[in-house]
Amino acid sequence: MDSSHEENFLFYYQKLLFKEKDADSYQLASIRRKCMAQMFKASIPLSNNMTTCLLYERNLKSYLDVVDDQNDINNYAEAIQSLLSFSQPECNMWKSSLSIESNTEVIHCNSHDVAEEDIEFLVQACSFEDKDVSVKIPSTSTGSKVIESEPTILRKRKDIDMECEKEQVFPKKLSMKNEEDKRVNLFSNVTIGNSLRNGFNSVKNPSEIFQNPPVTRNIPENFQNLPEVQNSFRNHPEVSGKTSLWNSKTSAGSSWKPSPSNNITYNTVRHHDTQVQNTNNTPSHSANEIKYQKQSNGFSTAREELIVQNQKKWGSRNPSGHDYGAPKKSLGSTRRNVMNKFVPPVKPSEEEYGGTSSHQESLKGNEEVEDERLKGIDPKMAELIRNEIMDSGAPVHWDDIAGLQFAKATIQEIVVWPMLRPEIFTGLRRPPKGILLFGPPGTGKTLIGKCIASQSLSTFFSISASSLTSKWIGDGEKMVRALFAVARCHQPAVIFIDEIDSLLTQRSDTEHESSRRIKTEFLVQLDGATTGEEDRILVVGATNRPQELDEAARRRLVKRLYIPLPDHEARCQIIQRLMFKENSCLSQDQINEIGKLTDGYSGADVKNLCQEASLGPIRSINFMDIQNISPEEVRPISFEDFQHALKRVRASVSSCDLDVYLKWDKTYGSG
Amino acid sequence: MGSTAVSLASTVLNQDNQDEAVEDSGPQLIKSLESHGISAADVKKLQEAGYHTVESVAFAPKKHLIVIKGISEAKADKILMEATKLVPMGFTTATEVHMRRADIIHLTTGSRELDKLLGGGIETGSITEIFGEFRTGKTQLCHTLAVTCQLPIDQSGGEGKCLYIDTEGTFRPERLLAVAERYNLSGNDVLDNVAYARAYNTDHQTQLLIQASAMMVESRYALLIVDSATALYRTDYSGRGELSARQIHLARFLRMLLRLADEFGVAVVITNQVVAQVDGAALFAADPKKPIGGNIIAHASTTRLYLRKGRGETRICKIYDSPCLPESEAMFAINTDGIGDAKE
Repeated sequence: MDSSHEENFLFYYQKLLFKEKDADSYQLASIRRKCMAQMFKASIPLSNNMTTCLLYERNLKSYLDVVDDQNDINNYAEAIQSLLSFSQPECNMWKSSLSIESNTEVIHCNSHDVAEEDIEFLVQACSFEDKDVSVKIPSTSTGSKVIESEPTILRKRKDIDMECEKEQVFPKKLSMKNEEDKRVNLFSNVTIGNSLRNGFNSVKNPSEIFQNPPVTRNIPENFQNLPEVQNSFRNHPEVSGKTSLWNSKTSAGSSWKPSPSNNITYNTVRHHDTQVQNTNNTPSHSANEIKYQKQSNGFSTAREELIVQNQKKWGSRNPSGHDYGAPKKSLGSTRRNVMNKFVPPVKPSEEEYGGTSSHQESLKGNEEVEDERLKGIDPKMAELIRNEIMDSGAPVHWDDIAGLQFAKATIQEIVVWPMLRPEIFTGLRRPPKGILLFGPPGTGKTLIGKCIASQSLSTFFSISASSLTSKWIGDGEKMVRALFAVARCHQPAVIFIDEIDSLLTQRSDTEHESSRRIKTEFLVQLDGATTGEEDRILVVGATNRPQELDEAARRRLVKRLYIPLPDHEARCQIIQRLMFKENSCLSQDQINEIGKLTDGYSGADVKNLCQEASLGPIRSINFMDIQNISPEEVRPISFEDFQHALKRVRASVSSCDLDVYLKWDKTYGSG
Repeated sequence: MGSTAVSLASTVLNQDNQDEAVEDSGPQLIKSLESHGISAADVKKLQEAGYHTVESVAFAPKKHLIVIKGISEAKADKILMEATKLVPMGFTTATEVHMRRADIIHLTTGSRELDKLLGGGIETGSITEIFGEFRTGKTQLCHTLAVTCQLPIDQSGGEGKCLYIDTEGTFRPERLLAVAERYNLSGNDVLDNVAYARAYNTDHQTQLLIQASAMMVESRYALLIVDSATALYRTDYSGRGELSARQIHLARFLRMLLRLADEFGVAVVITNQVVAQVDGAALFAADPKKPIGGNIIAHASTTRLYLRKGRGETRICKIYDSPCLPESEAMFAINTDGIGDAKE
């Protein structure tokens, strides 16, 4: 039994020794107080053990040193005085008849004798406590404090003096009605404090204190007040640490009511305190702090400044929860101060691959890629042109293009073969630099472009007028120049210009100057003084109006391929390909029949026809049934549907339209 | 990926090499005088008086040394003699100066245009003065520089800490965090690398520089910012009666800044306020604003930059005075992440 108590006692003693390494003086005081309270409880059964008493006495003294320090934990004078700036500091005139020296002597000679009585008293005191531990701890510790040391009493007396002064003012300040009853409390406490003081003043020997009836009678009263006070603390959890210290420092019943307004003043005062300390180098408790202050000499790191500013802004903590510079708890004193060496703030390398640095890296990468061919080109323009590079999209095969055998063969010859055997296609066999695809609308010119994009292994630029023109005078030409410069960097390259007539129409007197300049720049870039023989850039233009093209552009687009309307075979192929995916009951003869009926239809018209026909089975369904019918129940597309559809879908190209193309093809075409 | 890793490794190596080089060529601690026949007690006295490097002693006039308590004239002579032996203070060839100047680090301002205007950025080892009206970006430029000076040298930073003396109470660490985010730096490290002090009067402002020199001995600093070097002088001294006292005090302050720039090779950036010319002749001038501090500050600062407000968040920087840069202008912008290039 005894040994277990001893163990307990030793445990708390060690805890006391080792736990207080890196705490500030407030935490230090509260740690000590708690530990000592528990030590005391553990030591009750061992009260006859001399060593425990001695150890306990020493701890109490060191605790007093912490609590008694006027410059640190007890430095409330300024706070109070600032509150009382309008009243006379009467407490300054009050004199104590006791001196510290005489009292410490008293302790030395008396403490051992007192021990047993102390414990008796404390047991008595404890019996008044609630079961609530948080109440118990301060009360026992303050109780024990009262026993052992006159200096505390002395100090406490001063505190009480200040308290009294404060209390005289507080009721004035707190004019709230509900404070009325508390004020009564306050005053009763003041009288208690006074009586305590009177009692202590008259008594020299500590042992007499406990026989002094008024005091013992008063203390229980104080304890009864305590739970209430504690409750009010609990409403403000953030202050409880500090205020409970305050509480323990004053008499047990702490007449100081922590109303919210008080808290605020307290906080700000404390902040002020730290500032004062920084500038004055006042001696403080923890060795760390002293060191820091000596070093900092007026400078602080930006992080400390951030913390201070955040405190000013948000109070003692940041409501946003996630705050950057908040004082984080750390092991030991690893936080850096002004005097520390420079630490490169660059984040570890693995983080550089993700996040914000990618932007910087990509910029750097671009700069590296840039060669002399892009010199003089605005990097922003080059970037815009790069965005036009088409690298994905639905892959289109040559087989997807029905008919057009000659066009397909020519393009394969120009685009695909040189890609496979570049060493053969040199000199005179060098592929031409330009292809013009012309023909009536809907015959697959754009499809050929898409096919080139997916089948040729070159960089494919899909350019329209919008990507080259600009609202700024001169920027359009520069864009054209940038386009060819970028293409030169990405050889082999194919520049596909759909509706090329938008860019390269016949030059005339009436046209706008800027469009003229874009045109001429284009022509120069396509085949001019600056173009090299070995550039592998192919320009593919597609248009419906070849007759409107500028003659110089016509010359440069060497291969001019007429993309005619699909013939009968091609139309059948298109229908077959489209119907293949649908549920249909068309025989080969019927398809041929449809092919015959759609003479003069373009590829797009045939597709339209099939779309129209495929709606036939749906139209035959009753409106009521369409909600419930399952997709499988829809009847297949029949020949009749096509017959109906043929009445609705007409050819979009007339034969006289075709005459223009044929004539042009005869004049300029290379088919 | 692989190549970036390699380049990273190589930059790390470079940094190490550079660090060593810096250690070699850095300021010599005053302790080294002890091995040249100066007693440790005298060295301590010098240290207490704010002389932490041999250079600072060598550059100081004798009359300043005699003022130190416990240093007689004879002693001062001896100390000066020893110091000048250690510090080369004679003539060198222009070739050597040219070579040395080629290695000078320029701290990037965050804006490419502005860097181009300044020939790479804020020059280290000299005083750069930034002046302009309020809201022209003086403080923002200072905040950005406080972060960019910590960047590696290959990113045109200074690889050093920053010392920030604030007289107007406009220092906002949040701004540093925003800039640090932009350069992908660790916010906490960036903040820890900035030593900040608020100056409350002109004497305090000067006093802080003495402490600054002590701190610069301890670790590598790349930049010293005095955000508004003249704000306190405007109010601490008033009227023509105190003009001379003010200018002398200011000159002494600037001299100390120049000394720090020489000794430690830090870039010194000071901001300055403007005064409107309200006399008759100025009515016809297009821009009736002049930097304050008169000729003293005009002569002391190596490069003078005049900021004025452009459209929106753009600002225009004009070279007002420089020993080598041509008089021209550049436009930059104040973004949420510090100084940057003006968008179209």
